[in-house]
Amino acid sequence: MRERRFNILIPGLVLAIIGLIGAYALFGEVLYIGGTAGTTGEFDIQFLTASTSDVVGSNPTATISVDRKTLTINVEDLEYPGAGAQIDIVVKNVGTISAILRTITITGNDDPDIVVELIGVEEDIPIDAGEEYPFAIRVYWSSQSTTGDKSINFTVELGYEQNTGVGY
Amino acid sequence: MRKRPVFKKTKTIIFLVLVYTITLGIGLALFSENIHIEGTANTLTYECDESLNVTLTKLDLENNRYTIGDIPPRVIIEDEYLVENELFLVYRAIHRNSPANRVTNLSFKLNNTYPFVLSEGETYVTYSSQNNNLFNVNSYLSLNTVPIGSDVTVSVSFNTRLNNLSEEVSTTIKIEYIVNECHKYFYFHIILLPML
Repeated sequence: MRERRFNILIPGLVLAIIGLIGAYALFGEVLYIGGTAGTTGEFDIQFLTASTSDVVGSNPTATISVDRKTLTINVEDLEYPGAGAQIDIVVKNVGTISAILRTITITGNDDPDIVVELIGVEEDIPIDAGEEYPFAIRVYWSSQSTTGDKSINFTVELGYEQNTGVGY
Repeated sequence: MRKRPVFKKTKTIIFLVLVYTITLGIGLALFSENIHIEGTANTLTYECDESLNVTLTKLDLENNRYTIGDIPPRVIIEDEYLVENELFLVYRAIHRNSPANRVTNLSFKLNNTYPFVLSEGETYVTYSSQNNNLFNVNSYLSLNTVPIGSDVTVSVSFNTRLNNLSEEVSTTIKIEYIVNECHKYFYFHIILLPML
């Protein structure tokens, strides 16, 4: 009797399992997503324009280099204490990657008689792709100076980095 | 099992570090750049000399007025002229028995031959009066800051009894101005003539 039950039970179990697998196979399938991605960004900051304004008793010039990465300023023949000029500058992000101004380094502006000032620019200012940013440099003979016949050389370096604060 | 030599392991590690650093460096260099401004500036020679002298280019006595009230005039303006940039004002007494109490506003234009901007706090004017006993001249300046080409007004009042005046008397007012530690002066003179 027992032997007969086993002869029925085991094949039955096997059949049930096969049926289950088959059912599972019938109602399942895998979907595939295929795709590609590529990066084509360009990081490029340039001087767009530079012009002189508020010229008093001096002969200033401002020239942008051919590659637009260097601006040369000459403020010649400051005639008297208080004489000077302002150079209005526009920088543009002509690339496709958002940028941010990380460092401003000025050298050669430690002479108390001839003063070099940056106006309207500071670190951590973002400039998105296609955006322009205006600021100015003022160069003048200090009105408190009693010393003439002087000259200085100065440089300003603006360090831009990719702005990681946008997007994902 | 044979042990891998230490030297080979070290080489591998160094190689991997180098590759990682170069990759990182390339990644950074791609997304940063500097732009530069180069500049020069120079001043002309500065000297404390005659080029800083102020010249008087305009005399304006239209503001001459009496003191407050209705006191009739005691003096009249007889003449005014410049001699080597020194201003001379000549008054004549017209009433003997009353004190003269006339206030005169002397307005003249400063014209620097050397174009200086005079800034407040560094440039100021002082005044002194070289006087005799018959004159009492008070003068003051209406402003201390003197931009290029400004009008400067000096008020002068006379507190002198004209009944004692029998001959010409005069006083000189010296105005000192300072431009960046250069001391300069100019003068004007007031002459009072007795009644005719």
